[in-house]
Amino acid sequence: MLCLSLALIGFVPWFLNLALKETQKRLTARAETNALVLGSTGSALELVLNSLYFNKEMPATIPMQAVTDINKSKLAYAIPLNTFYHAGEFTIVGTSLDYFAFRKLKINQGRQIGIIGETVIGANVAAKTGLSLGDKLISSPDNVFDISGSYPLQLEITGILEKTGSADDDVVFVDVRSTWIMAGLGHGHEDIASLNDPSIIQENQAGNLVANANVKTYTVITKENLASFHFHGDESQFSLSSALVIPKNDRNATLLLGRYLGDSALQLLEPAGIVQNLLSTLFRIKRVLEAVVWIVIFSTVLTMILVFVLSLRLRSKELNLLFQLGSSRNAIAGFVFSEMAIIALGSLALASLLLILSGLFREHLIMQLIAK
Amino acid sequence: MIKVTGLEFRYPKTNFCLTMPLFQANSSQASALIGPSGCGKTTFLQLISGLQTLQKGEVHIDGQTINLLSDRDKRLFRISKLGFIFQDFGLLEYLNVLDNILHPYRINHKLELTRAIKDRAKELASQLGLSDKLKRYPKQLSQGEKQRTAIARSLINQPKLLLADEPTGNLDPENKHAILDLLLNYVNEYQASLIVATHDHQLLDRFDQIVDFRTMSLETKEANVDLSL
Repeated sequence: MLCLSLALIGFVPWFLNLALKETQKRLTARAETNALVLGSTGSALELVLNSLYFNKEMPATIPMQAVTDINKSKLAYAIPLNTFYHAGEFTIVGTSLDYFAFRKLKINQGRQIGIIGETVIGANVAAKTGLSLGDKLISSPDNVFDISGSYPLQLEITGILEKTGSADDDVVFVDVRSTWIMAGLGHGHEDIASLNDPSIIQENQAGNLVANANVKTYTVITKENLASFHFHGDESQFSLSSALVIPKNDRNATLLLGRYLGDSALQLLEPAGIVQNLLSTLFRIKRVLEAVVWIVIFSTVLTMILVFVLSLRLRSKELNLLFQLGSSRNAIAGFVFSEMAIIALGSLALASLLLILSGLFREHLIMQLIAK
Repeated sequence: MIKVTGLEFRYPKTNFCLTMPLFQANSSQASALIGPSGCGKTTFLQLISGLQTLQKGEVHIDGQTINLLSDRDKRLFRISKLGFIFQDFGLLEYLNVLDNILHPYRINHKLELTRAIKDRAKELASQLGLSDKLKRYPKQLSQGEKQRTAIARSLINQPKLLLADEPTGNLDPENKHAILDLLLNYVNEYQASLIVATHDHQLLDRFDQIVDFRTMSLETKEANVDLSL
């Protein structure tokens, strides 16, 4: 018990320090790229955390037009991100192939996404679910009562990414258009004209057929039915959660940042600065925690001294017996010191063991903390 | 074997004074020290063993003058030549019977713990009826078994002098005689000396000589001697 309590006293600050260092490393590594984050006005921190770490706090939507505008500006290229949908516990990230090139993500097994309805999954997703190439993954509907809302879409796994130790390991990548199908903005169904079935026709406006609810819609996209998938509405207004903006150089980045300064609907952010602010807050909390831990350590040491002195008093008869039998006072002091050393070493070993064991889930814990 | 002459001892800042002009005990002889509590029986045992330093007089044991030895030599003398038995047994609760018996060999480098010593510990335990209790801890033993364990520990180094402070104080009558039998058998077999501080007058007829600390008189089976100055 003594060893365990001492080990915990040693382990907690040790673990906190390591966890914070690792959090800092992971946060800054992903933020300190040349990418800017484009998103809706609102919480800058939530926007950055969602765009970089797929944090589950959702920012307000931006239209696809915002991405097109960036691309048209020739100052940068933009990578769309849509993180509104999930497959079980995993976030579905709708994006373009540029994302994989920008993050230098490599396919470990299989191939890259070819068509809508296909998915490439992160290494941790594959490890946790046991899914492999060719297996199917179904997106979770947002709301079972919202029949006009998001559709569960069956996704076929075509590739598994190499492990990167980043948030990319824990997500499911699809083409951004797949997320719009999940949103109900696009769908595929039987060819109404060729079926020639009056029961599925709601309206015939001079050869322009409008189907009713009897028409069979596809929940799986295959090569055979791919051509039947289409979108309704203006694609430029379809929703994204954010976009990564990769300027060609610093000058372009500055110009772009200036352009969005006065925008009431959109904001363009430098993630490094936002993450740095978050880290400063974290480190302020760390300093407070450290102060608390030092007070706890100090009081523990005082308690240990008290316990030790009391135990020596309780054991005075035993120690006196050793002297009477023929042991020297130095040897007796040596025994007592050895006991203390065994307790200290035992505690240290236990704390190290706890740290090693915690290392097994530390990465996961940190990624979960960042993602939440 | 043991001879004490002109002994005088006082505890600082007290009125206590122990004087013993002459005490002698030979090999194979058992001596009892009697007298009321606080008269100096335990102090006398401590002076013999070198745990207290006498102010006057001399203590000779087996050719060595104990009061002239250095602290280190006194310790070596105690660990190699003396066997101690206490009223409260002095067993370590966290050691089993076998480890308690072997404990003197683990606290001083003078004694080397060998396979032969371990065998001797088991043999002693067997002789004292403890062979099936070697792995038991003191709290799992009866009072008699605890004292037999303490005796086995005191005999493990085959001492020439056994000092016992109220060894039967916590025992029932049957165990008292059994324990004394064990000690007297050892004294006879190994030509050792036994000095026992006791309040138990029922056992006095088993001793060769009795020192009454109240009157400072020595009673042997042959004669009565006045030891007072």
